[in-house]
Amino acid sequence: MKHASDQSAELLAALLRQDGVGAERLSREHGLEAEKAALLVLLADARVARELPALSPERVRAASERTLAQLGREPRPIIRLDRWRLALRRSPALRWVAASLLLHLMALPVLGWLAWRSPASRLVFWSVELPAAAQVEQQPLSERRFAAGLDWKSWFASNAATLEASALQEREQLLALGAPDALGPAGADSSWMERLLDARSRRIATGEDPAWLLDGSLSIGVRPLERAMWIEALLDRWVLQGKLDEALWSELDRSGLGLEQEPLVRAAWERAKRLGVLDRRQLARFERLGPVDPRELRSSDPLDSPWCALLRQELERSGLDEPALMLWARGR
Amino acid sequence: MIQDWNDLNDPLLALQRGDPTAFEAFVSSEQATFQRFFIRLGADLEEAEDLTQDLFMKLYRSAGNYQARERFAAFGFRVARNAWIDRQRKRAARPQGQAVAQDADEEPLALAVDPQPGAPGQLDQRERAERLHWALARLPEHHRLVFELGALQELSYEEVARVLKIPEGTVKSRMFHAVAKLRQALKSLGSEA
Repeated sequence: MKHASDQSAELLAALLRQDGVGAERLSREHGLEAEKAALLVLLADARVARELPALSPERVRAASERTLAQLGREPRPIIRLDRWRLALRRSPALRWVAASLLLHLMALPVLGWLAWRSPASRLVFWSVELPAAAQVEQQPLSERRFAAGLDWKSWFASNAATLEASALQEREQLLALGAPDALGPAGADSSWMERLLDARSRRIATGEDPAWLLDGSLSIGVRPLERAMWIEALLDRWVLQGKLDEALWSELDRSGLGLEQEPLVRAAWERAKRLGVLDRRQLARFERLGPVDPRELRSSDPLDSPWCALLRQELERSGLDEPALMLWARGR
Repeated sequence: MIQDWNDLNDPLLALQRGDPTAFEAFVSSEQATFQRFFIRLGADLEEAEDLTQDLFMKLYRSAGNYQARERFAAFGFRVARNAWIDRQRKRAARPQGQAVAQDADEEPLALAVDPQPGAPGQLDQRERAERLHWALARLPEHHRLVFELGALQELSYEEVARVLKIPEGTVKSRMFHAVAKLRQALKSLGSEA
């Protein structure tokens, strides 16, 4: 059985939670009607006492205004971040996602390092077409041969190493062959062929060119033999001295018209192709001729037997009396 | 409190949504409520104004971390009560000479300041309320706080327990003893039959 004070406390609790039915039942069951009435008066008085002490409305308003003014000076709470933090605190799924994201972000530098260190497992995240290289490829070689300030390596950026290697290989062979001993120094009254061969011999022997070789004083004829020999001389210059001249491409273009009929010119083009100095247009023209007769194929030796045979044939066909050239042709 | 500040009216949730107007309305409406609360706890008028301003600033600054886990009134009074405890601690830490004297027998502010005459029909209740207020000021603080929050501010026992960080049974017991003491005091004044 409950103590009277417990019953009174229950009644008070019921009245405070505004449980009228419960308060009525308690007061009836325990004979607490008077107690209930007194408590109701007390609680009603308490709600009036809530408004005490009486305050000056002006003073309250002034205090509010001071507070609002101070709030205006306060930095705005960082609500947005806090809302994320709250969301993280509330949702385990969001916490899992955030942790996973963080883990991946932390792993990125490690993955990058591993990919960098191990070429076999290198990951290709993107590919970029190098515009400079692409432009060089698409641009006709004739337009970029003598771009100001560029050396030959930059013109042939895609196969410079091949060019250099093939030139070096020929150079070794030319130097090993040596120049024919029978040639004397060419004078000003010598034929162009003598002078050309003299230049070729001199270049092979000493690595130097006579001054007149490219100064325009040498007048090259239009005969295929002359054209072919001129191309060979320019190719020698490239092979032995690493110098590419505009004259080479001009001569290739000029001689290209008689490619089909002139085996010696074709042999010169074959050598130019092997050395990699044909531009795209010239290469296309050369390849349109179809497969070359294997007997006409030049080896990497620039003075090989097939070429010497061609030279002899051409000399005989043209009836040229060029002792120096015959010496070269017979010398092979 | 004068208004219901829950749900859509919750000033701190509104601040979190980026709307400061609800908080400003809360400041304007409840300034007097909290000033009276602090006065009934024992503060003088100026101190009550300071405490109320501090309370609003604390609430504003806590907006970022706020979660509406309880009625806003309960949350507000919990913060207010903590502010009062902090003030008491600071006061206790002051040198003796600077301590603010709080005489339990001092006339309550409600009786000293601006007693307003009520309408003829309300006169008795007004008088009774003033006497109740006077008696309340003389209760021990732990009883006074329970009565203040439970009977005046109409928080539930559960809410009072959370604000005061005591068990709900203790709230019930303290409330019963507070009411008994009040009735005893009022009887001695001739207010209760």
